[in-house]
Amino acid sequence: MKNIRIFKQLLILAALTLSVTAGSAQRLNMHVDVSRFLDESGNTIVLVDYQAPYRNLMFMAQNGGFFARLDVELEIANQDSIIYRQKVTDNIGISSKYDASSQRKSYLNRLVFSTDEPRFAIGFKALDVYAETEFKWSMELEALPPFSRLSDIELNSRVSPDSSSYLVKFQRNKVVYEPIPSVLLSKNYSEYAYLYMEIYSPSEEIGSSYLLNLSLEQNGDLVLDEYLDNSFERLRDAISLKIPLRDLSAGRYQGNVTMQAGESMESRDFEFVLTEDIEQRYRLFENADDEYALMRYFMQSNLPANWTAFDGETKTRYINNFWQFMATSAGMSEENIIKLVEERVNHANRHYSSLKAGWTSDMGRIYIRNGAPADIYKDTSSDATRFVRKDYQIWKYSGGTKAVYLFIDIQMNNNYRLIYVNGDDMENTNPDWIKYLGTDFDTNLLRN
Amino acid sequence: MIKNISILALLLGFCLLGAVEVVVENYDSTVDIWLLLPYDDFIFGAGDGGAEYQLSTQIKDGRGKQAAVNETQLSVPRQSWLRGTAIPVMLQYELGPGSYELNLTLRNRKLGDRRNFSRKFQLGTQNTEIGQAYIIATREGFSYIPGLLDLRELDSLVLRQSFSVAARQITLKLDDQRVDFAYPQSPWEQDIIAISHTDSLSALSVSITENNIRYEMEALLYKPWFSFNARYSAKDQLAQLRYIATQNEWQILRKVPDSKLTEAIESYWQAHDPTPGTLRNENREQFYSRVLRADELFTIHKRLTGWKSDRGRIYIKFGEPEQIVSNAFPIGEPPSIRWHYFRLNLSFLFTDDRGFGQYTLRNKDEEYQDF
Repeated sequence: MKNIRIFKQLLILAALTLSVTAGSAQRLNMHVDVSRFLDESGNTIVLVDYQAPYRNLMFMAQNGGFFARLDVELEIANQDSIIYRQKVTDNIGISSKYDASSQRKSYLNRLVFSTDEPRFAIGFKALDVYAETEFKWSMELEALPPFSRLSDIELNSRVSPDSSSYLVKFQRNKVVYEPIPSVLLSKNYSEYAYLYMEIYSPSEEIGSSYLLNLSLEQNGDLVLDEYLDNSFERLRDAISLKIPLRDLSAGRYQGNVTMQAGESMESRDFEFVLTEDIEQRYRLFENADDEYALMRYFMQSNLPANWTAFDGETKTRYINNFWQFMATSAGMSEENIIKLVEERVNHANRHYSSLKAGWTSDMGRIYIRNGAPADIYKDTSSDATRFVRKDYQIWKYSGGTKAVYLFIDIQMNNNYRLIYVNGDDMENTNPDWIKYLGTDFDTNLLRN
Repeated sequence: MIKNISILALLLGFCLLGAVEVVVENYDSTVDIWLLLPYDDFIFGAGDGGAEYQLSTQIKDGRGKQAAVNETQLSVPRQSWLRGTAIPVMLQYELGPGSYELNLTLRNRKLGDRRNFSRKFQLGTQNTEIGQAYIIATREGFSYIPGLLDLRELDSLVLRQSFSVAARQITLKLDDQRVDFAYPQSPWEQDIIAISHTDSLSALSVSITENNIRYEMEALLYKPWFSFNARYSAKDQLAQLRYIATQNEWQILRKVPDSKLTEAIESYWQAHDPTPGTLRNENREQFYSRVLRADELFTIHKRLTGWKSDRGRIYIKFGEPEQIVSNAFPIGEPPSIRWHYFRLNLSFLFTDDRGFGQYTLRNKDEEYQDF
């Protein structure tokens, strides 16, 4: 029985340790991870993934955006001689300045090389050109033996179909596998930890079966132990496994994948740290459905197909993502956009409440979405006309599409209903709007 | 309502007000409006040592109601060293978000000459992140914005920078010299003479670091483009934009009604600001400089202005050619000039078919090829 244990865990730990220590003055804090696979000739293909959190980079305001520049150098050495060297300049652009301080956004890139050397040293260097900070990392590594049956385990935070050129380096058969060199997974943003590995089989074993065992431990306690009975179907097969994070508590996890085929057994370790952001909950209302009703004011067509089917945690994640998207679109921080909407909700509750909360009224909706109008025309009926024509208000906005809204208090209970709109695709005009106002209504009042 | 008026210039003459450049900076407590009046546009009486001006400003809100009004006396001395400079006047107001119109009247109190200037501007809910880096020189007690960074014979040369971001550092680059200032407070001022190692600087740039974002800009010196809005009508400016706007942009711009032209031009330049966050728009300044230079170089007479000529258009689009080859007296064919842009791998041939200096472009295909 062969039992080939690889240094994967050691390597990740080394990367983690270096990441932390490299965070001191004049040092750049970033993450590197290395995964090994085999090509058809039995050479080792090494994927060097590196991840630089935006908050650790210096961005320069230029060319209509914010740009960081990372000069990366990868050196592969065999004893004293360099066998491979690659230099890359990463120009990292963001359009919103708030992304630069994001806690979760980061730049990801991958360098690939192939070697037939049995043992080699990797030297990785990255220079943040604008901050003049540097990250250095190196380690000794063994090649995968040519007869190996199992590749390293590549930890991914997201696997999704994508045939666009975006993240093309991380695509396999039009599916993006987004690695996470930091090995930090957040429960708030990821539902699963995805494991990608390759199975290699000699041609004479095609059709024979093998057993794959995935186990996961936290502090020595086994939290997951699953078996997959499979058979070799081709010389090289890709396997993707996913670990649900929902039921796992925050903390550090050690995992292992063992493949047993006949007499041979190979094992690979992996590791990740699961975090849970408790403080980063962006929400105005306790009730997620109320929050969704508010969010819909800002959504045009990209509504979730099955909001009611979401569980509480998924709803929370959706709400968080929504406000972050809103903040980015508006060029504001999440706190500021929430504060702005909260002020508008409060204003709507103070001024437009009738039998229901002001923020749910038509006026509240328009106010929350557009803010205060530039001009308000109010027509209040006298007692003599009270049963003929109702009170109405015309709101005019000066910016953008110069929208005009006409609200009427149909039931005379301060619940003004929107019956006419111009310059706003998200609202509809009542086809009979003029009937509510009478034939003597001066339509010139609606000009803006 | 006027909160405070700070006159950085006090002194004499009469003037062409249209050349004024207006910079509006919006901060938490006040709106700073900088009027940069080119010295060369002031007019002095014969034999007078200076000119006395009255500057009246009125701000109207979007509904035409007066939001602020102010009157200021200006005394401008007649000095040869003030040529090629601008006189800064900074007004501070408390104004809420909305659209406004600024009306200026500058009257020469002795000669009676009166000039008016009007400019619309909008204030949003967000503050100006990084204002202009004003350079204010003081000589013989008079403050002005110089055209060059010559430190000799000056009482002081102050850099004044306002910002609303939480700046953790300002770095000044004076040619090869670099000086850092930690945790500056807005408005921030620094006398350049006190820190400079030389009497004359060729460049002075300011960089402001906010957490992990850095904004860099050149200090604002007097430039001929200060008079751009006076020299070209909004319609002319729109026609100039056609040279550089994309097809999609032009399809939108060409349909803008006359009353909205100024706003549309402002929006265009906002969208093409290379340094977001800063008030300075380097692309716009470069474009203005090129238009003015094209006029200077290629104008034949009043109706054949340089920027409208073929050479002017190419100059505005691509800048100064890297090589010019002229064939002034060829035999049997019209005079020709060839401009080479090696960096862009472009070459343009102009010929003077009629013989009075109106060179026309012969290879128009080259102009529109994707470089």
